[in-house]
Amino acid sequence: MTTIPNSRPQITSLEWRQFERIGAWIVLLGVFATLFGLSWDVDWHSKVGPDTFWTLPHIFVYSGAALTGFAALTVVLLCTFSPRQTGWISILSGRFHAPLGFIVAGFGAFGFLSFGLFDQWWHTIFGFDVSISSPPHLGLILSDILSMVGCALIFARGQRTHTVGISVATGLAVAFTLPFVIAIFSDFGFVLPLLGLQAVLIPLAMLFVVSSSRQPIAALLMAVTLVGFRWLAEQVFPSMTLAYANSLGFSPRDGSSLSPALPVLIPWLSLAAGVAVSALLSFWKIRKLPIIWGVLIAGLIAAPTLYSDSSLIPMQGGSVLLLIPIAFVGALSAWLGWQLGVVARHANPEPLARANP
Amino acid sequence: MRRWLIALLISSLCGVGLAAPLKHTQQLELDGFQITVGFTEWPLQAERSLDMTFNPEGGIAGKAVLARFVKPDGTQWGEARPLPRFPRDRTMWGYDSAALPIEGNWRLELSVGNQKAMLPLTVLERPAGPPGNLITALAMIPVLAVFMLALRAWLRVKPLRQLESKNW
Repeated sequence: MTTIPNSRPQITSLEWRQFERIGAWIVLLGVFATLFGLSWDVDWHSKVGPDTFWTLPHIFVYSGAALTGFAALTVVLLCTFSPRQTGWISILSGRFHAPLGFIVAGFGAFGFLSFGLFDQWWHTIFGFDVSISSPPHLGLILSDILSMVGCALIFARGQRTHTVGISVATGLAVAFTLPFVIAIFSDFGFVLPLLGLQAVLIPLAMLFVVSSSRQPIAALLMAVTLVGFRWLAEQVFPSMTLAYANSLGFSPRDGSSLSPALPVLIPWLSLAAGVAVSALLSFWKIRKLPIIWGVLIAGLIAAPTLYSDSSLIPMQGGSVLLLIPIAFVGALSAWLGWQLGVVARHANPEPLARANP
Repeated sequence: MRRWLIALLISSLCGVGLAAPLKHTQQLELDGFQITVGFTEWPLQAERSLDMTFNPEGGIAGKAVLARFVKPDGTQWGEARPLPRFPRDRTMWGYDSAALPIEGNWRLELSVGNQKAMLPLTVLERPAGPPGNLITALAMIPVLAVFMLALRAWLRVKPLRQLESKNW
């Protein structure tokens, strides 16, 4: 694993066993269902309210987590009972071995379902939801982030990566992490740390997917997924919430907004940033320019673009100067994302037997 | 423990349409009409959510009442706003899934123009329930797992990272 290859790394498409391929897409489907359900659940709570375990948004949430956990567990068991391959990770004193991504996604789903029980317990004592930042909710949200990280890692293996898979998985992870982290911090009254979150997280994710796939188009794919989720939420959540409330004989609260509560925190300008980063890095790749400068410039461009879209801090006179430190923070995030892309592939190596087909 | 498990099971199986019955009502007079204030939990406890309904005699049509909550220290909680219609029964006003965050002697002030009515609300301490600090500590495990995973991988692949981060 620490052997330095002689030639320039050649990233090729991922070769999976059949059960790994099926497992990977089911994990992604589960992660999407949970993201969709949680975002709709927050929307439901903010507009209508009543909550038990068996609301429709919860069905999406928990069936998604169950799907993720079941698929990950199945792949881990099938790998464990297959002839062992070098790229797999051992857990629980070597009793189980499987690719890292499936193990991480599985633990995330297990944590999510466990915190679901704590959440039920919480609601029996404190009643229906009034806060997104209750301790069981923190557990649910952070476990889901773990599942999403695992899901992205499934698509990056050593020198091989699945560009669409990792871009979509990372896009969904950002579509979840950005709005939910902002919501939690706002609940605790920490507004200051939110100022540049989108300008930090999105460039990091863009360069992570480009680095792990070595395809500049991955940044745009990630951005399309991210913005696509906001678009989807804006299209379907208002009518779904209203139709579900009507079917139960409830009405939305007076004065509740029509737009989805959390997905609106995803900046539309992510798309512009994705186009800019992909175009810049394509140019860099074709011209064989020093990559590290391309990465830093990508961050310098993307971060102020994303920050300008902030729905939290409206750009006002004088605050344009803030774009300078934001740009530098974005460059640093882009560099970190690029390095993490390399780390993700090599911490999660491909089986040696398949390294040179 | 068994009591919690039974409560957990029942709460899981309850349908979403099950509206909680009123456990306590009080009468208020404001601007010449009576308002029946209903509570789905009584006594009130900090952080425990409940529905509060306000049913004026003669219905809500043509009436508007401004409400403001005052905390035990005398400061206002949130903004003073007109009472919204109760989402589960729009023929009256009300709040659903609302919780007062701290114990003490609160008051709810209702007003129509210069006419005011005051409802004292004694909020008892937070219910003894799941250990919040323990659950929060457990909740941090997934975050620590991500950081530890990234840090360990970062250190292990250092030679490759230095090479590959400079090339396509």
